[in-house]
Amino acid sequence: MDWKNKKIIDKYWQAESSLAEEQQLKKAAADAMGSEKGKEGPYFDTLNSFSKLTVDASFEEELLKKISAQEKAKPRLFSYRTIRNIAASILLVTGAAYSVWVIQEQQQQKVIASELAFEEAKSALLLISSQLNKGTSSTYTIRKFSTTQQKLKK
Amino acid sequence: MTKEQFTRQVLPLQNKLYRYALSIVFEENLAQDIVQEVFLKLWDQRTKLQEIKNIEAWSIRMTRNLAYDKLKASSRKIEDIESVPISFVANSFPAEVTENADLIEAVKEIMKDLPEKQKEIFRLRELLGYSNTEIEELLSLDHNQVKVNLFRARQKIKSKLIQLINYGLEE
Repeated sequence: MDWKNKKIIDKYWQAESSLAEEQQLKKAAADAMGSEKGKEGPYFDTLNSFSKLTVDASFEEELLKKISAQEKAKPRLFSYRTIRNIAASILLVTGAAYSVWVIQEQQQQKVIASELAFEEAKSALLLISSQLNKGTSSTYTIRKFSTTQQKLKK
Repeated sequence: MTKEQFTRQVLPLQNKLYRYALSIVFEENLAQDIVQEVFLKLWDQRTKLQEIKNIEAWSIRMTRNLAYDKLKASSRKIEDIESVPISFVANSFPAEVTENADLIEAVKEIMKDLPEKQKEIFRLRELLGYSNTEIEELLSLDHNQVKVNLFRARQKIKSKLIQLINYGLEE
């Protein structure tokens, strides 16, 4: 590819170039020598070089060693995630049970309080009713005394 | 998933994930640590991997999350270090010069002023070689969003290059 292919470079900046065209552009920039790179060449060259970076040669070996070590380690009955989930479930169920118990207790307290109030009212009403007819004779006597007194005054 | 399957299907992503992590943290050793951590997590989840439709996209997302977590953690460390006497800090952090330091610095400079979405699309397209359709899937964006953001990113870079070239000529 001709590195000075302005058409493809323009397409690139307009974000209309294909991936294949871009790869050609980057490769051509990398292949160009010195002043041939032009103004934009170093930019494409940089991208080209970056896209070729790799991990260290020992990376895979070290990783596989760690994986083997993990495999050899005593397998856990439950993973941390499972333990966390179980703990969260227990906490949730305990919390819900406690809330239900508290609500029931409160309702029971209310029932007891209302029963107590009813009993109090009942005994007060019984007391009043038991004394209801006892005052009648006294009232009659007082009324009679009052009538006699008025007669005497006349 | 067996170890052989893992080696055959998942491990070939190592260089792609490394470049991706590197384009976020701009530090070779840290990027390599991140990729190793991602692979160990993937290995831990190997029973689930069969159910995952696109392991590559899954790994890219894991790498991104982990890289940003590491960045956040290191920025917190830097904040803590600011309260430590300067002489102590100066002795504790020898300048690490790597083989690719200039290249990494150049990419960092190119991406510096791009907004996050444009930066992400730039990474996936320019540094990892994903197509726009793949980027749409990876970032859950529609076709136009990817195209517009890629266009804007390239326009910003182009104007920055022109500025640099002009500055060079004036000098």
